[in-house]
Amino acid sequence: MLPMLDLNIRDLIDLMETECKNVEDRIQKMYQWDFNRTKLICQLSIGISASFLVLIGTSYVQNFTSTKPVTVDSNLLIVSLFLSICPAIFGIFQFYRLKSIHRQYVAALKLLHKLRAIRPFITYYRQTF
Amino acid sequence: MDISFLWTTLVFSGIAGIISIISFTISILTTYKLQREKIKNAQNSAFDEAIESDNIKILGSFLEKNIGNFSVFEYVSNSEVSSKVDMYIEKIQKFVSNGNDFAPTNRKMKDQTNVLDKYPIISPDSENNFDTFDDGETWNTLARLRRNIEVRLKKIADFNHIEIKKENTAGYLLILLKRKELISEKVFSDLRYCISICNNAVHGSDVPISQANEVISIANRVFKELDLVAKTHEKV
Repeated sequence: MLPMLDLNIRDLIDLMETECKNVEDRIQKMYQWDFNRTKLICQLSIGISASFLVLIGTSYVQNFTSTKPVTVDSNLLIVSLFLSICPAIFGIFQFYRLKSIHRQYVAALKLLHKLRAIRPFITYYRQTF
Repeated sequence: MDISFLWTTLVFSGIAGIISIISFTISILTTYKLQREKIKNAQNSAFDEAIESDNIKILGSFLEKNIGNFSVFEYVSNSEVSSKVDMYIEKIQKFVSNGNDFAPTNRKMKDQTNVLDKYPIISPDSENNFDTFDDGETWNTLARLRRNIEVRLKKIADFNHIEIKKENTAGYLLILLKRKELISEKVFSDLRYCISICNNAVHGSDVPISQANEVISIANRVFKELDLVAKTHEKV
């Protein structure tokens, strides 16, 4: 989804064809970087939601103690509370997807291994066409 | 107009919520749509055509343009994608490694005229004629030749009720038929030479046109001999 690493099979082929050393280590670094980035986005989303919830709570209490309180419809308040937790839901969903990152890393290595077996074919194809 | 702190907070939290809902929905729909498109492109007729093909251009192009577009995430999360990708890579893998039983050999021809036993008659058709190279595509021609040798050997094995597996390579079949004394030493050495050169070409080694032509003419001669023997047996 949005911030996750979108490494496709052609990228793996290109990586293999560059003949750089330690391709596996590079893939690991890419996934490590992606893991850190997605984790940061999850934390930010949850943080934003928490901030809004605190702000709504604070302003609601302040409104009661104010000399000139404003009237807010309770339905509107509920909708606002729901909307303020939406970034957290997005963050939690990303966090859930983050769980699959180790499977993606293993799958990338597996695919790389398979692609290496057909490397002569790929090299010949790319040189010829 | 006095806008209270509560109202401001509600408006901003609403905006943040709506933005996250919109971005979340768009990202899910886009991902889903893209994934469906990629699966559709890599599906059915095009996939079947590519997987049945011996043409390096078709095989390579499908790998680069369709299979290559799948992301690792799609490979992990969608079983349809993973099975297609695995099947396709295995097809090419089998093609590249097929018949590795024979390393390139220095050929020694032994004259041995009598050819043994029974062979099925395979009527000559366009598939069996390897007279020309298409635009110098040695790979395609020798890959087809190797497939053709494999088909011929499988037919001989079937004809003689020898149990073989679908994944048995041309090289394996040749050794098997030799052990069963269904082919002569000469046919064995000729076809072994042909398969080893075909393997070289398929593995991307440079095979000179002259050598490819030589291999094709040897294979054609062996095929004719096998057909002749089969016809002789049929008459008897």
